[in-house]
Amino acid sequence: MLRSGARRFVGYNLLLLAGGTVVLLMIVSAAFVFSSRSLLHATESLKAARVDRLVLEFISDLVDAETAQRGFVITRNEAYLAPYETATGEFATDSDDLRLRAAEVDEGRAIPPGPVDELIALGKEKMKLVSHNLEEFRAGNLDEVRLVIASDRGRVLMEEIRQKGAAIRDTAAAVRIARAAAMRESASLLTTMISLGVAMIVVLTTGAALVIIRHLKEIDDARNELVDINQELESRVRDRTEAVMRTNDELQRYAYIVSHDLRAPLVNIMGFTSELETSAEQISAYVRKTADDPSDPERAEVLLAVDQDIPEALGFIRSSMKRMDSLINEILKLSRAGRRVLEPLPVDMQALVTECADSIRQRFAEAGAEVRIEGRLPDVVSDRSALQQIFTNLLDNASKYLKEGRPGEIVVRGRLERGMAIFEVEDNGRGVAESDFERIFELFRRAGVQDRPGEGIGLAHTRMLSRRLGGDVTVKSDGESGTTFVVAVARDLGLRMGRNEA
Amino acid sequence: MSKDPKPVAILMIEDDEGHARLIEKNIRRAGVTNEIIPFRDGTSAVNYLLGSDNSGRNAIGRPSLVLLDLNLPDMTGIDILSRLKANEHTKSTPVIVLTTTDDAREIQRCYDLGANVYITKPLNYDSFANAIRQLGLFLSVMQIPEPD
Repeated sequence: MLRSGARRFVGYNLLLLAGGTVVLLMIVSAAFVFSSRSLLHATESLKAARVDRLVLEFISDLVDAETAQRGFVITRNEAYLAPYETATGEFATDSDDLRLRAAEVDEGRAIPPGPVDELIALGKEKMKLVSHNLEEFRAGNLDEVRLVIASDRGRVLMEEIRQKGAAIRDTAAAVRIARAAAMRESASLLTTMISLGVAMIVVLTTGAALVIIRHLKEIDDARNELVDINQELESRVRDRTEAVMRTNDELQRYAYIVSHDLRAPLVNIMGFTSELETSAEQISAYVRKTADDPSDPERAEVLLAVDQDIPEALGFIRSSMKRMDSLINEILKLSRAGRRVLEPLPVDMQALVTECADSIRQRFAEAGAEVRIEGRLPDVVSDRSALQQIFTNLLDNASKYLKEGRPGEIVVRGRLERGMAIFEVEDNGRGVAESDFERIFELFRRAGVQDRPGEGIGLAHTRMLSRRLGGDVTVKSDGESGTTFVVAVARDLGLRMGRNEA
Repeated sequence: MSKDPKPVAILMIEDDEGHARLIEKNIRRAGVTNEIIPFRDGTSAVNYLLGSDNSGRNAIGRPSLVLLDLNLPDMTGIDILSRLKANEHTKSTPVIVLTTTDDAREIQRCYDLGANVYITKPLNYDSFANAIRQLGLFLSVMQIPEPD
């Protein structure tokens, strides 16, 4: 998904690109059109020029033939007859050429065939007249030759030929001029179009540049905004972390003080209970010695009091004190574990879990249970001793709460997920009811049938440790076929702690 | 040992009356007859030990042994310990720390500051009484240097 700004940017740029492409295509096709038109104009112009040249050559052939004939007549030198022969030969080809080429100009529309044919016919007549004169002269009919020349027919014919030729040449010239003009117009149109295209490309490029600049500015603004947000977020995370750490510190201090200060009155209760016991024994001995009248109704009551009631009361006080002492000791232990400075180091989890399982192998053997590591556990950078505590607690728990008559099977597996290492300890034991999912992690709370020794400390400890390692522990169970504890810890605790310190 | 040394006074700095009573009882049971001077707070104990001028000169010629509880209402036992050990007249006075905690770091801190003995007040009264009685035996053989 693109942001709306980025979408707009791409849209604008595509539009500009399309515009540029269209303009370029227009310029290129215009260049094609104009150049092919120029080619046509040039070709037609060349054809007209060829017609012009052919007209001149046609006339020159006639002049050559007549000149050669006159030279021979005057000098009677046979050598003059060679140019004559050449001229008549060329006249034939040039006539054919002229007819052909004239028809090609503008596909015959520019120079009508009529005048050309007339010209050629006149030329042929002139040629025939020259050859007639030559033959008469050779035959010795000089009078006849003289008559022909005197008739002025040759000169008139030639004059007509020149006029007709000039007319055709004028037509050809007109074609050339028209074509040249068209070429000039074409070229200037092309120039105009190219200039316009260039101007448009400049406009489009400027537009694209503006769009890019604006987009860059938007990106820059967005980045600055992001930096601000990040800084704010960082400071918020820092504040939050500090608050959490303060709360944690306070809790630890609180637990420490409570356990510390709770002990002081207990010392007194225990101490004076002992003093009381000693005194009670003395009183008991004295009462036994002095109250020797069995008929005294108070004697039985006093004896009952010193022999049973007082020792019973003292016994309850003592056992309650012991229980309280052990609870306080557990709180103290937890508080100490919570205050311990964590040492993030690379930990080979496969080896660590194997070690933990080995350390309570005896218990597994007694319970008839087996522990298996499924696949390879991911390694982490974390606090070794906390991890040991966590896995020993979980494995110990799994071995403790197996289902009667079902061979215990405990599986440990692990995976990495978004900077966290997630481990599962799954057993096929008696399970945990869903209503107890949170309760079991609370201090001094236990769930299910209370047939196993325990203070309700292990899971509270495990939760506290896994939270300190940047994660948590949760439980999954259907309440009968087994329990899975899911422990998440930061994959790299050093990184996390470093970030919090920063 | 040329002259007859003055009897050693036991200065008991303990805010908990019950603890004070139990300690005294057990010291007496151990056969120790030295005078026990009780203090219920840190200020009065420090005043007695170092004098109102804080010089510690009034400790001269007055051999004593301090039983110190770490949790006091007005100051910590650690403060008293460091002040005693910092004063040239009282620094050789033996200090026995008595407290409810067995926190290893706290114990280490007391020894670092110059505490001579550290006794945890256990909830098991027998072991507590035992520890105090042993302290009594220890007192009876201990040579306490006279401050000068």
